[in-house]
Amino acid sequence: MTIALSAPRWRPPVWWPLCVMLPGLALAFALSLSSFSLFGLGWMDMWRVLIDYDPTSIKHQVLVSLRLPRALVAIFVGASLAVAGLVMQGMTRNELASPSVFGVSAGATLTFALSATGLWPGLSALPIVLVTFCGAGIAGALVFILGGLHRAPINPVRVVLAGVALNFLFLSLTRAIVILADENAYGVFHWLTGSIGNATFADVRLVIPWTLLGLIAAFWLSHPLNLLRLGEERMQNLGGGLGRVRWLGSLTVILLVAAGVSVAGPVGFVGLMVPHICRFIVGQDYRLLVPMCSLTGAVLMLLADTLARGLRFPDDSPVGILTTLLGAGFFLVLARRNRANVA
Amino acid sequence: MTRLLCSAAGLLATLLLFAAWHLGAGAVSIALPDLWQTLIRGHPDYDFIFWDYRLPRLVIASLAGAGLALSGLLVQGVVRNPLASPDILGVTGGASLAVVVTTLAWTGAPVTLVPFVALAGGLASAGLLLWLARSQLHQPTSLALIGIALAALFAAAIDFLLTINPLEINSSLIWLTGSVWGRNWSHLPLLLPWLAVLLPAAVYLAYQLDLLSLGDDTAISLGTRVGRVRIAALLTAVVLASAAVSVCGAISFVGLVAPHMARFLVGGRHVRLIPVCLLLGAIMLVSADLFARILMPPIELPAGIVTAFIGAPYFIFLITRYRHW
Amino acid sequence: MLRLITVLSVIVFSWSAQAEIRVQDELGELVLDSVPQRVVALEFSFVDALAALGVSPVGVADDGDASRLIGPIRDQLDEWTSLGVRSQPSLEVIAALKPDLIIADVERHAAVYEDLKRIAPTLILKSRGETYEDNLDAVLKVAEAFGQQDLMEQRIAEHHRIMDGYAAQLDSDATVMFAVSSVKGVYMHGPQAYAGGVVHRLGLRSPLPQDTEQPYIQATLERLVQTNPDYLLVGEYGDQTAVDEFKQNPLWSVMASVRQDTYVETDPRLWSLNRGMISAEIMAAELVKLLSTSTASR
Repeated sequence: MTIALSAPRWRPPVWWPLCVMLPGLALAFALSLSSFSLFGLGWMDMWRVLIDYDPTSIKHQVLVSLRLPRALVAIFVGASLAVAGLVMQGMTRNELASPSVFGVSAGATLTFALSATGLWPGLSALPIVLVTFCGAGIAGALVFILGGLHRAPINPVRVVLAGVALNFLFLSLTRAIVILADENAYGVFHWLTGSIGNATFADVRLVIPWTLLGLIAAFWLSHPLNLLRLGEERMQNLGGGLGRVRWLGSLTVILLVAAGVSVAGPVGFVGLMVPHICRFIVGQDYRLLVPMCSLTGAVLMLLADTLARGLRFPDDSPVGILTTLLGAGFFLVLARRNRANVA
Repeated sequence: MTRLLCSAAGLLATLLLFAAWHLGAGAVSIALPDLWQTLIRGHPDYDFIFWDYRLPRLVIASLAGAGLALSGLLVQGVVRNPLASPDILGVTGGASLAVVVTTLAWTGAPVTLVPFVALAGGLASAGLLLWLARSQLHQPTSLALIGIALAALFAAAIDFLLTINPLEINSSLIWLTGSVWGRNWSHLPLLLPWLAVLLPAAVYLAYQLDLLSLGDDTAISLGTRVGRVRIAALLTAVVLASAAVSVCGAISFVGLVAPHMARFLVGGRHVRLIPVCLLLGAIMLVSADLFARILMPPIELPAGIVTAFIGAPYFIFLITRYRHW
Repeated sequence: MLRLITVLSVIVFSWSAQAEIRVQDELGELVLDSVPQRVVALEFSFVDALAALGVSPVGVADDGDASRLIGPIRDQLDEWTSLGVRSQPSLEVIAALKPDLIIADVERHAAVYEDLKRIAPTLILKSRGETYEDNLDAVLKVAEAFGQQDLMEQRIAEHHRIMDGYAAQLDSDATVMFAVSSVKGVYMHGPQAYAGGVVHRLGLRSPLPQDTEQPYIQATLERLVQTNPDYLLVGEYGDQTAVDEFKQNPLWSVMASVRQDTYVETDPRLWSLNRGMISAEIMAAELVKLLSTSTASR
């Protein structure tokens, strides 16, 4: 009598999507750099820049001084907004939570507008990330209070309504400021939808450190967020330190949103779509979700920005237009499913 | 009851005060005795300004403000959340989208067509909302969520279309911002009939809405047809908002803040809330239009911007004080 | 006796027929009983036309800033009352001025045309987005409203002589482009825009194809570099605008106009706002100076 023992079936490691996403990111990066250019850029041009950079060649200049910072900004803004949305959804346990839906991006944009237009004199002297950080923080605090997040039981729809009302409030005020400031409103105006069209290396230097800081903090939070999924009481019992997680989580979200908004404006819905897509692919473990969301967010922004460039070629369009159109449709599908309570 | 009478009287007085101010102030100041004379007998200098410019603006602003406020009250009653407003139903968005699409598709469209297109757009978007939410009509919060998503989608579509085909400065874009500039007596028939018909409907629904606020089960046990009341109230709210938006464009905050202020003054019973809401809405839009004209004469800001500035801080203040939800 | 009556009635009839002025405008026909004395202009291009006729408007929609009208035009006119922004002028102030003619822009003011007509007879013409030729047509219509077509035709003929003179001096096939830089971005003025039309009139070329439909085209830095005109004129509205950011990019110095020092910052009020014969002549003079100094320096 033989006992047939079958070898355990080989399963791919849990982190296989990350391995797929990394080359995907590289591809999207290259695509973003070369596509839709009036100068007909191609792979050969990119290769040449790497091996034999010629500062006087127009094509090389376009790649290095226009496309490169734009692509880098797209990567980091995409990552920061996606992870911000992820952490928001984890902390509020509301699958509709995202920086744009909850008005956090809009709050940051408002303070940015006040500073950039010079309507609030003292503000222009402060570093821009600090200004947007305060704006995002105030918006976050208001949603917290208005949405009743400080009181149990949390009504998820109430939070969304509060966020929407605040978003609308901040957006109206920002528009009003742009109209009042008129000729001083440079930088704010074509930003109202979120755009990275004029990204420079200064923007890149601005966004990278804060995004990395936020991503590290988010990764550190992945274990507590996993525990939080089990329920708040359970988490307390397991020694999770709920209060501390709440504080750190909020700060992380605000930092990530501030970094993204300082450079790109209120790009909408990235923080809503990406966590959902990633959950579909890698499951619910935050230790996988944080890196996956970063990569996916980056890829999404790169692709959206590339498409935005091609939309009215040769005219540029703000990337926020595409993400908002896509995201609003996504939002509609989610709302119809009526599952405002996230697992 | 006395609270209601006092509030109503006080608000009426405030409205008349703002009305007088509105008629007298502006790039050309008209003193009070001159105002009176123009009203009674006519005045060669001020006839156009009074009869053809300020008075129609005043009347339209009052009616539109009242309509928006009433609409907001109904929406908040149905959704049972004070943060709801006609905007979340996607009405404003649908109306604006219809206007943008029409203007882009038909470049020679007469300007007088805009309000009708807006009205049609608002009603169509309400229909879309009801259809999308057909399986969840008993859950007002789901309805609100879908409405929000729809509003977001319309706004995104408008931005998208405007990016691809910039309209630049023309009448449609000014309309989209929400303004009472250029509104005259010819716009009155677009607004008054709706208000006249729907106000009694709203009063009729008021009692039903009070019952709804006790909770679905209690309401059903008291004989309320919950589903029907909801739909009726929503439709009324949508038509009111569409009519107001079709004439003045997208005016923010009136539908959100006015019901709040009303509740603050007279409590939560809808029958009492209706007159107070109407007066408050009228006051809000009239005063917004007034300040829009007198802040930087002769430059006129769009009234929709001023309502944001007035409504916003007051909204925050009210919310932090209001505990009744 | 009968002959006297006939002669008298002919004189009376012709006199009254002359007293009534009829002009075809964009939305119909304007009928005036007599030559207007108090005129209100809702766009700058009309003010240019009025200056050529020696008429001072009593009110102008000047966006709240009288200096938006260039000096040479302002110097010919008396002071006026501001009517506010061109897109939403204050109807109250217009009414208070008691004008007997309003000149409006069909693109901006069609919505309030009826209201304007209630205040005073209104001549509604093309202004915003007009071409160089459209402008000359509009200017002639303005003159018709004053019964001064002949004077205006003479002025237009002289304008053509002046422009031909400049064109002869400019004998070159260089490409010239004007762009506006504001908070909203950089907008190139294509061949259909007024500035483009003036350039074409002077025998110069636009770097953009002649059949480009849009008058104002938004330009990213990449697009501007690709367009690469031989002479680039930029008018800035405000201190810190889009073009300042462009200048900080290394790609800016790749452009021919920057390398050859043929990039000039000019007055947007002249090149874009005040469309008219006076502005066109000053623009032409500027171009002559620019092209001659740069060829001299080479």
